[in-house]
Amino acid sequence: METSLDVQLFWFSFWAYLIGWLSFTVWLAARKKVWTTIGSICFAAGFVPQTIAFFLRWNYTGHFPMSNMYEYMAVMSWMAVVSFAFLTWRYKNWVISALISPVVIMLMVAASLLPKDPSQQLMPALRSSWLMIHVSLASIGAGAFAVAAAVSFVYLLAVRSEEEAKKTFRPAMRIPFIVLIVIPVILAIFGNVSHVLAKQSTMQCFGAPMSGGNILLLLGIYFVVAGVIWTRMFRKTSDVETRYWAAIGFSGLFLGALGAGILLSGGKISLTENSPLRIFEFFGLTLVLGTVGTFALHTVLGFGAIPGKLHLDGKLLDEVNYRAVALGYPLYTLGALFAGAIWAESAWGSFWSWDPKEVGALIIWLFYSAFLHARYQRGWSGPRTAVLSLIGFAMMMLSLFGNFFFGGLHAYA
Amino acid sequence: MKKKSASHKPTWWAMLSTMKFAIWILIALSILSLASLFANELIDPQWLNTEPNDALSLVGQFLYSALEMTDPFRSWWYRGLIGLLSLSLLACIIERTPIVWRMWSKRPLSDVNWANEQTAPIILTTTEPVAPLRERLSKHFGWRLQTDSLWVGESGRLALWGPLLTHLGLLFLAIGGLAGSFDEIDTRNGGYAGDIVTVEEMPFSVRIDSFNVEFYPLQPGQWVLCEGEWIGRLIERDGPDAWKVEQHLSESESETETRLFSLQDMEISNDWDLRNAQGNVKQYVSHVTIIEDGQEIDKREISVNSPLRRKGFRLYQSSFDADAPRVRANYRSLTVNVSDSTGQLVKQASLRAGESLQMPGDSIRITAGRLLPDFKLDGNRRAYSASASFKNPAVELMADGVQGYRKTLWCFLQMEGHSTTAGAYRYEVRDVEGGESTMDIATIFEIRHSPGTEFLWLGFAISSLGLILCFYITHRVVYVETPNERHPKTRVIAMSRKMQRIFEQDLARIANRPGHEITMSVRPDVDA
Repeated sequence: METSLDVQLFWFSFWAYLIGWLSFTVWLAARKKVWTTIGSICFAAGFVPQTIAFFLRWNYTGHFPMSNMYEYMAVMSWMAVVSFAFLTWRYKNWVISALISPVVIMLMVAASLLPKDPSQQLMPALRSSWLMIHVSLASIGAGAFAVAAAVSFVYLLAVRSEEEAKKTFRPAMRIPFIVLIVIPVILAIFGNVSHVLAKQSTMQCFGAPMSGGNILLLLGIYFVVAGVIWTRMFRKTSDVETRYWAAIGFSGLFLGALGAGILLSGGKISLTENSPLRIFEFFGLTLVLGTVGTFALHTVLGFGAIPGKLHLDGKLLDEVNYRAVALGYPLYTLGALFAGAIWAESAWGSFWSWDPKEVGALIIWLFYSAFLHARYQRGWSGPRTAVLSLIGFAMMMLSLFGNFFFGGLHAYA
Repeated sequence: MKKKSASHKPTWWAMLSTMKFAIWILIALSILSLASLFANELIDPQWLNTEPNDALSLVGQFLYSALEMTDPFRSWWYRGLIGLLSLSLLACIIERTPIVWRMWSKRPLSDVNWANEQTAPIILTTTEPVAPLRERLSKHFGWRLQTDSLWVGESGRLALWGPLLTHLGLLFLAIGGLAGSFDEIDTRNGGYAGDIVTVEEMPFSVRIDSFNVEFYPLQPGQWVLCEGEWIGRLIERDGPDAWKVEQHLSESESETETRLFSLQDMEISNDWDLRNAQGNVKQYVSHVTIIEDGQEIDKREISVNSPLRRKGFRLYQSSFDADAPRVRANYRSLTVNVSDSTGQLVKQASLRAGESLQMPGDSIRITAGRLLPDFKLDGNRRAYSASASFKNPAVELMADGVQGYRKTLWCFLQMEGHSTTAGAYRYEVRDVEGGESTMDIATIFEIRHSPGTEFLWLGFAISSLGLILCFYITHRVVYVETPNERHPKTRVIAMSRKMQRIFEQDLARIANRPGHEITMSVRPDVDA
């Protein structure tokens, strides 16, 4: 099915968005209008086939195409493009547009790595029109949260001046290298030599057995060492520097969760069957991949000192963050919680079963509710809401892939 | 006087109605929900029941029990938190309703000073005359008021009710959830076709008329068994009775080989592990008759996503019992060969089910019993039929003698020459005429009755409306002041409760006309 027309169109959109993103990136440096024109044309050229691909898949499978992770991620990326178009139209600020475009690419990359075989055989519980309402609204809401997280990420970076970026980059470079790369590698080697709890684990990584106990051991030591070093690192850093690391750290974390989820979906990694330690195995993978993501982000942003050159309007970014959350929150509430509960009442006999995915969705909803109250009633804004937005989206990623370690009624989703 | 009455509010009430308290409750609920999820995953209640000392320390066991961690989301402390959240919502609604009502019932005053007192008003000045600007603005504002010196427009007034309705809906949801958690009937019941399902508190019962499982056709990717071993996955159909199978040659599934298999040689696994040459389960449907006071009231169909709702009770098609199919087989007659101890055939008899045969001079009487088309023995060595197919047919002969002697003999039809002895004779079943069999699967219903359901539906409706008003409609007011001695240019004072940046852009777009100069500022540059 890799060659079916909808998948071909997906790949066409993928390349169009990629070229669009590169054009916007070039525009950030060159500031020539031609690059935003090319970028916009590419995004439009990607959006149309992606929309057609969605309907083609719907026609082929005979049901609303939201029954697996690929389809969910594809709709999330589609929503990110809609948000991109809406924010570009509303704010008429190409910097904002240029900084949202990587979100689209990130979600498209995630979708591209997931198995794309369409299933024409929906299980009985999914044979309902509520599938369309529940999953589409939830994914559209999640797409808006992704945009909010991206803007928050930029907000936290943008306030750094170019000079600050250069000054803090070199010494800071060594520390994350040690903390994030060398230590986990040494611990991984050490962990694989010891077999403390190996008997309990059947976790597979690229076909080779991995010990859940080793990962736990690795994580334990990692937390201690990283905690000590990071605490010392932040002790004398300025507020700006803390914000920078918060942005890098959280973004690395959700990149890690995304990567771990993709590897699990693709069958490259499998967690220990029926083991309560699976969640830690997933966290282990998230952290290991997150460290790589964090390091890569730090390297790119640090070397290029990009944020200092952007001259962004902090208030505008803050409002876009709020705007995106305010767009996504009702959709997520109506789709993930209300429509999900009403559907569950028909399919499973109960509005709410305290299934792990339901609890995950509730926690995310409570979190974003607190976010909105803090913002609207308590006047929180700027870096605080930006950090909250990033945490919220990291939670969303964990919840998205939660079925791999928690199972439950949503084990198929 | 007003200040005095406000201070008379009890401290606990003042605390409940604060935003700070609500945020802390939300945070506490988030953290404890997460912790409960992890606790449920890490500590298996079954393990705790069977080997409590291995699972937890004594203190841990005490805490686990005291905090009702077997079902944390229905525990006293979780209900307590939801109760506190409900109280906080109630206090918030009671406190805010008069404020919202005042704002709702009073239109914006035709006084420009009122606008200046509002949060962050936008001040725009233009050299354009008032009239055309008013005309353009009037297209965007539903309510308008005009005086000699001032034009007032307002839109999105309904949005004022958004937060209140959202919170009211959430209060109903919390109450409904709490009510349901205290007094809920939740049980599983079911049976085979012909059985009657009753629950003590349910004012009616249902008779199962039939139960069907619908399957999809076979599809690539389904796992294949051959002689009880998993061998690989289906790739594509090759003719009406054969499929190409990707056979795994090693455990890691890295080495594969494509081979052709006949459908007769393999068993296919689908979602529910029903091994037959079919695809995954598409739907399961029970046809039932509702019986009330001994009368048949109605005939209904219950399937997944289509429950039966009646008198506050809901019957859901929960699942089916694939592991215990009921096989019913019957036959017209069977032929029994009776031989003596030397193996000499002494009689050939044809028996109908339940019919007996007694040889002359023998105390044993043989009765033709059950036919099992696919004979198997369960863990207690009880005979049953695993399917309705005649894979290993066996006939039961009951031998009754004097002084209560009774013995069950099984005669296997596919085993040539197989006979069994009772008393002085050997009995062999040679043939079964008119043998046919059917297989029933037991349907399983989830039966629920929850007292909070009406609150929940109301909560969903009110909250949904509130959220739409709250987030997708914005309350905006605009004042257009005619040029006067103090302000010689046309002045627009505007306020938006949300999304002020976008409103600023919209306003600038509406006001901007070639040949006219506009300036825009926001508080604190307001000149009252």
